[in-house]
Amino acid sequence: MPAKQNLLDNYLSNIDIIGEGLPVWFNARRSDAAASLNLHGLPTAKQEQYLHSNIERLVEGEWEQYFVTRRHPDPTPLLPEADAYRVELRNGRAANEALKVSAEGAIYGSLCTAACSAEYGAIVERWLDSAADMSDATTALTRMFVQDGAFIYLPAGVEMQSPIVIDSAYHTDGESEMCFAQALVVAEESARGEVIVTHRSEGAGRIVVGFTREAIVGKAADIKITELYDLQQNCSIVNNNYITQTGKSHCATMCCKTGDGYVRAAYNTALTEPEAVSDVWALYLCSGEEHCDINMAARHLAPDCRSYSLVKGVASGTAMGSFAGMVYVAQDAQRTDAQQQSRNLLLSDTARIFTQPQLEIYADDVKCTHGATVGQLDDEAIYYMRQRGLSEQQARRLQIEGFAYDVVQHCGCPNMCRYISELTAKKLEKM
Amino acid sequence: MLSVKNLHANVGGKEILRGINLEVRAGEVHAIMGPNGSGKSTLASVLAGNEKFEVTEGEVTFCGQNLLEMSIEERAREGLFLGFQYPVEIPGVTMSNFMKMAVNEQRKHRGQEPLTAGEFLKLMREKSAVVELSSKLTSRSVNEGFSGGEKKKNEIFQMAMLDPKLAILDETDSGLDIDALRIVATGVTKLHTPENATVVITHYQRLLDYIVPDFVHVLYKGRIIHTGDKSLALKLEAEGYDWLINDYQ
Repeated sequence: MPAKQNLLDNYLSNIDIIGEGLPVWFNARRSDAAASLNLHGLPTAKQEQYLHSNIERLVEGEWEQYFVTRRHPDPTPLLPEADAYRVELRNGRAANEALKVSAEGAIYGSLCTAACSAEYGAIVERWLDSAADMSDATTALTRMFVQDGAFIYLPAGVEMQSPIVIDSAYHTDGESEMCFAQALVVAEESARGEVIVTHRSEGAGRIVVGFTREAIVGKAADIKITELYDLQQNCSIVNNNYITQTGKSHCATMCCKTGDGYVRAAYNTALTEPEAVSDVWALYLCSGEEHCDINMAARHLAPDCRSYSLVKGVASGTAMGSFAGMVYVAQDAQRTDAQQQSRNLLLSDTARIFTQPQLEIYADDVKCTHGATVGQLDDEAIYYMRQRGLSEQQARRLQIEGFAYDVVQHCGCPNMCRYISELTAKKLEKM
Repeated sequence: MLSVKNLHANVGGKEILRGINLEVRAGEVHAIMGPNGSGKSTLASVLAGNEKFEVTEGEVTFCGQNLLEMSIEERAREGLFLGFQYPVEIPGVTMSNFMKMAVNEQRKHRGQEPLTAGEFLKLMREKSAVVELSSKLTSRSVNEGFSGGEKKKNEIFQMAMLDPKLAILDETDSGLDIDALRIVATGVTKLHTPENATVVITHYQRLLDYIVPDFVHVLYKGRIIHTGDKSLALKLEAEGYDWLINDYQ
């Protein structure tokens, strides 16, 4: 049976249990998403954004899906960040159902609980799915099955002193499992804070994760998002991120793939009001036969906004990396300042990197640049370092770490930055 | 310390060094001069072990060992230092991190314990003073965004950190203004001891006002065609190379 039909059948046969305990509006949108998936089908290589990702092959075959809460073994504790607030997701579900309030006044916890709560239900209803694009098949697929996830709400003026961590762990020992989660971050006017999202996996079984995250960044709000993909080889993730920014807001996103699992990540930013600023830094490291596919879109819909993105890829062995970027400038988005850079490093003759930065500009007074490079390690630099006494391997490592540092340094939280550097170093040993 | 006998080397099939003979003893300063394209930088690169060059004939011993059998890093760890004519920029790699690894690799080679963070910082401070290198530069990426003068100072700073037995300085004076030249050259002089040796490759006599050589060699078409004392450099400055080349031919 084709993968799409399989998924839709599974959805239809479990429709009652999937939506149990969730608000009517939440489930109504779920069926809209199913209709959208039915209409558009799973993405094929004919679709530009999925040129290098075969989603059909990823989801075909027999997958277990659990629509009831189960207990998962606690993964090894993450992050040496003592004073962070945490939302723990286990195979897509919040480990703790209660919503919590931070000392600064932020609300965080289970998305399901928030959607059902009298206090925050309206906020979830207002903003969930507001940024996401349901015509994107993997976004629709996640929405169709999602039962829980993370909710982070920074009311107007809240200034966070500590980051909020969404610790999303995936675990299966036996059968192949598919799980889904959604995260919603709402930062109201002038709120400031940092959100760290970590994806990691344990266990011997295969697992496929559908994840969608939306961030709504209000007027003059300033949000930092750090996302880490530290997945085992048997865990794959399709992660769609949507960021909507209003006037004078700033959102800085840094993401880093240091694990061995397949990652298909899309970062879509819409700048909807003047003077919004978006920065995105991404780094992916692929060794062996791994594959990582990064999509990035900045949509300038209002004048005087600025966006910057830098995506760095390193591939060794027979690994494959791909990047597709798009800067879209609407007709009245005058004085847009947009930059998109893709920098890549190939460490072997058999590794491959595909990079495709694109511009689509309808305004006439804009400053847009894009660039892509694919190169190898600099032999001169390696010679130079060896002449000072470093071994060839140390010199290579140092140079790749230097290449990666451009991205890693943008992590706002020092402990997280150190943690990512350690994971990067660990990954480089395999490259 | 260094003994070069009948050294021949090629790059891309073209013979650049055609029988170099050179003896450098501890405590000595040698200057190598010569017209452009005579093979000066090639000699420095071959001694450092640059893999772009192929040694086709000859012997080189360094402190009693066969230098030509050693890898680039082994030569460095044994105490051979090359000051680059064009120091390489390494984005994202901080000077201090790079030097810490280099110093500790060399210490490991000598069977010494690695320096602690405190000891290393102290060493950095001490040695950056030798060439008046701003401490800001040591926290930046290696040579990235350094001016020409800063890059050359940085080479001598690294030499000070690594304390080599033999330093080969490849046109360390090129691209320096008068003040930077003085700082770099006096830095080199300060580092000179009876136990180590220096080979400076230069086009200009003015460097040798600071670094007074015991021997001046003239390299032409891959051979040392003439050796003299420091007065030779003055004569070359005044008269050029023609008289030597004509004699040689």
